[in-house]
Amino acid sequence: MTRSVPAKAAVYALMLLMLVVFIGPIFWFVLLAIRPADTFFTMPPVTAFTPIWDSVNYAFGDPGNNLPQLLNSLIVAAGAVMLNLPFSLPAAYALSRFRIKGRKHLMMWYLGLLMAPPVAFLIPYSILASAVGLKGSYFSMILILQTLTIPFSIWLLRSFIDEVPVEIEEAARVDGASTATIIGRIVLPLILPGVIVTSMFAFVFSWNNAAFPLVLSNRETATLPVGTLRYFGTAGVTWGFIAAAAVAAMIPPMLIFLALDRYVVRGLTFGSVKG
Amino acid sequence: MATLSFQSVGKRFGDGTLALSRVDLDVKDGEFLVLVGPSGCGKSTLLRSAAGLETLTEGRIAIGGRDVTDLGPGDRDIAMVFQNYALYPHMDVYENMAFGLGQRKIPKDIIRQKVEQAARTLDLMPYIHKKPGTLSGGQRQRVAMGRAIVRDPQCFLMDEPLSNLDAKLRVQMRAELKLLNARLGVTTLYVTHDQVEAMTMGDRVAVLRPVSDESQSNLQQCAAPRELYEKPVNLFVAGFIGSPAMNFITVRPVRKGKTLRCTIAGTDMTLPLTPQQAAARPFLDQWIDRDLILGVRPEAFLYPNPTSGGLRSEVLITEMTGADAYVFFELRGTASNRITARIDPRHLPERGAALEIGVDMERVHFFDPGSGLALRG
Repeated sequence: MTRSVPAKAAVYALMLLMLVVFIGPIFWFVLLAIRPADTFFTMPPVTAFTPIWDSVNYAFGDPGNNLPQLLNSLIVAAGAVMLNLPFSLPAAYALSRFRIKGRKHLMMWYLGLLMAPPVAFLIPYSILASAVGLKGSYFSMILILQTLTIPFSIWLLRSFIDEVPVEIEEAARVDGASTATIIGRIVLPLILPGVIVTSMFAFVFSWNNAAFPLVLSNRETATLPVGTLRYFGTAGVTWGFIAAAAVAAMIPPMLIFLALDRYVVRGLTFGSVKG
Repeated sequence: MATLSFQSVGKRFGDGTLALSRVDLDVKDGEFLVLVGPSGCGKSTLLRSAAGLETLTEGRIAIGGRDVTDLGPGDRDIAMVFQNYALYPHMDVYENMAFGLGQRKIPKDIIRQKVEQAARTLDLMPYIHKKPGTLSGGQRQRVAMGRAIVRDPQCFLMDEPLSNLDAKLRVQMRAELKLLNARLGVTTLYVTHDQVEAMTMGDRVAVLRPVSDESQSNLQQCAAPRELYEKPVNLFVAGFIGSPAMNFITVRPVRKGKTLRCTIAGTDMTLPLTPQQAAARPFLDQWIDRDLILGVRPEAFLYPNPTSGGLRSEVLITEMTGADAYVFFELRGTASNRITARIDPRHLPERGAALEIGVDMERVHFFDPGSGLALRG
């Protein structure tokens, strides 16, 4: 299809506008981390300045409060993924393969969990965590993050398992394989792209989550989003430090999506078409 | 090598559908038995029950005299070939064939020996380290066969294994499969909806039909292909086996002096029987002046007509297939009865022409209109 020059120009202008809307704030934040403090909010914005690394150095070098938080975020997000799969994979398999009574209702209930405001779980859970002495631990955060990651993972993984022809499993059963062998050696390798994309989303959801760690973490186990929020202090808002920490927090999800984007597209179309 | 026997097998699904009822069937040692029937006749369910992929609600199944009704698929010592091959897509040809042996904890060097032997038999050595996705339909089909062969099972169960192949390859694989069975001598139960496949491959063929209640049986007749064709036990088998199908005409035997003839209901057309033909069918005496169903295969028509009676109509259309020609006509007086007759292409009549065609009463079948059972003398 060939288009006229003005139509083409209009399409490009629209794309540029969207790019500005999406990338603009991120770009502005990145600049915020490296510009001198006196140019933060000047109007019109100062476009020419010598980058200074004070904010970055303060967040991650000396005193470097945010460096252990980066590690904490990694522990919590990776832990959430690792706790997620052993539960969501068998559940997704069962919901895909077995004629369970009320299967549809169960799936809807999981969806409902995703739609419920996370804070609704947070307060009772926080009280519970205090009562059993878990509050402040990594595990308490990893555990409550499952209320987000498990329902989501079950939906996504189930749609991947649905795509595996049941005859392949029947062939394996005739070949003498047990259910555990079938899941481990037949189904799992076939849905590996699905497992990867599910883990990615679980990781990013957990990484980005600020509300749960804000309530459940302590000074030693605080994650990076919590660390970012701490800069909203009584003595004023230190925008440079916030920007430095926030930009650092953006990098891992970006890297993950860049590295694994081919799985993301497949995963999302799987999830949206089937259900 | 073993026998496979079904004893009054019944299966009702969870949703209440009755799939199987009162099926008694014995597959002999080394026999190639084909299950055939229209969709919904229970042939696949019967095969899957033998594999242990369906649990029975009635009856028992025994393999080699051992009751396997309550055993899982892996403990029955059977191998199955699926319609879509069901190969493991992430494993190469070797791994696909070795998987079942590995599950049985067979030493690695013996597995290698067996897989390579099967691969050589099936001409799969050039592809041994290729994934199923890169193979053609025929090659995948052979891998599926290889996966069954390496296991040395008591019997093979095959669920329409050729139906995904194109027509030419299907004919070729049909012969290969038959040869393989003859060489290995493994008891085989084979499901198909294609009656040509059934007739050409089966030592015996079992014809199944759908059932509506537990008093009926799916199994209509189990016999050698020729017997099935020449001596169908009832209207269903007669109508199902043979292509084009047998024609059914309502007739009434009448006796005039010494001669016996069948009149076509509502017309003055008659089909006379010679004294020898009448003598070979003594049961007709009990049906004098009563309606019964005459079954005529397309090749049992005589054209040009040498007999004194015969059918009169006009040619609806003709079909020329090369070696044969078929003429289609309607038989007036018998409700919407369209007849197909095979004739010699040299005598092919014009479309719309008046047609007078005889029936070889030596080769016809008679059926009781009430029970549908074949009448034999």
